[in-house]
Amino acid sequence: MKYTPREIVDEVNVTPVHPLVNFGYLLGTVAAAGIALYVGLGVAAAQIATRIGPNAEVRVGEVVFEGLFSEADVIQEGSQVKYLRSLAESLHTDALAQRPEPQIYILDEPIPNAMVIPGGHIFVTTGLLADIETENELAFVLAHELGHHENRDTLRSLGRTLVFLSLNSFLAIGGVQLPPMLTGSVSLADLHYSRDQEQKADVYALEIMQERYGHIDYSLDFFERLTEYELDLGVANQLIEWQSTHPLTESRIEHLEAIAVRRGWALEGEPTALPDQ
Amino acid sequence: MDILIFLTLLGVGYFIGNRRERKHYEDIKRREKSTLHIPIMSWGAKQDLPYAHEAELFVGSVVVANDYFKTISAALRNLVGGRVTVYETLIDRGRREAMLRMKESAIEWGASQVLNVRFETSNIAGQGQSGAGAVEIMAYGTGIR
Repeated sequence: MKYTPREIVDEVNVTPVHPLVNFGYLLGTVAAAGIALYVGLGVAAAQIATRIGPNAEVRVGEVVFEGLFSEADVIQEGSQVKYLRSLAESLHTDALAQRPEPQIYILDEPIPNAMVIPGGHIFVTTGLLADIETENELAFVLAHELGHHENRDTLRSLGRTLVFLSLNSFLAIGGVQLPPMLTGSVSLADLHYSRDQEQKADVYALEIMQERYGHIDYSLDFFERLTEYELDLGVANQLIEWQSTHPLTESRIEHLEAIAVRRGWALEGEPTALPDQ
Repeated sequence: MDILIFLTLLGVGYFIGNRRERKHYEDIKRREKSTLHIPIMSWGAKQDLPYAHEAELFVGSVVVANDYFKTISAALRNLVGGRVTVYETLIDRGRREAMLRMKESAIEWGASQVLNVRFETSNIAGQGQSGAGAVEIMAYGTGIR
């Protein structure tokens, strides 16, 4: 057999696709899937936040509690805690009975702050307790946090992490552990609420103040003092910390006073003193 | 800043990698034409080999490196599955280059044919996290004259 050399011209081993077209297609597919997943998680989180049952919420709350305060100095005993608990209990509304029982802790922290996490764990810092002058102020702060708790703002603020946290609490029964990367670490900065949520909690708290004391005087004093601090640069850092969890403006107080006037709540009244400690 | 570095690497990978690939293919096609007159033949285990005065083993081997653009494309491809077309050209170039090197050394020796050619491929470098790697392709066969 005679060998006649012939050139091979067709490239069977190379797919005729331009690398940029290929790259664009891949990037588009992955990006589209990513966006779909992100939006889907957002929708799922919103659904969970409004529907989660008390038991599941308690479990989610435990995870968040561990993540945030496992290394913090949490005071759970003593007369101050007892007083706070009884004060908070007196502020409970009927609607709150449907939610996990709120629990009060004192955080050994000089920066005045108060926060609530899922599961109804309410934290008040020693700095805040030192700053408080009347019971009205303290009751307002507590009622405000209870408002967040009742409105499920704590769950909403977890956002997409909530999907994984609730999945985790659900799977934990079967002994399955999600990788920690998915459940994520919750930080204090995550616990911020929208202006609307803040306003709702404010109105909620103010309503309780009117019911309990018959007036709303002194309730907002603590907030007013905080706005005055704004001018003082020495506490600027503290304020940033506070404002990251409680965006506070003059207009917020004005808005509350306008609501009080509209609803015919008494703006003047006698302050209730704090008990001697 | 990180995204800037990423885009720079991607650009370098695409433009320089593409240019080199084009040049390499031109070179391969030219050399394939000039070595076309030597046949490559494969024989079965029990078939008699053609009569030869002399026989010698010839080895052609080449290491082709991946570029960043290909790495990223392949990483994205890994997520969705399917043909990794960006690596096809890399492997194709490697095989043809190795074959050419083997053939050219056989021609220099004066071979009339090259028998029973085999290919070997191995990954070198970039087995870990970096992903950027290279592939070694070796072709060997028996030249006769």
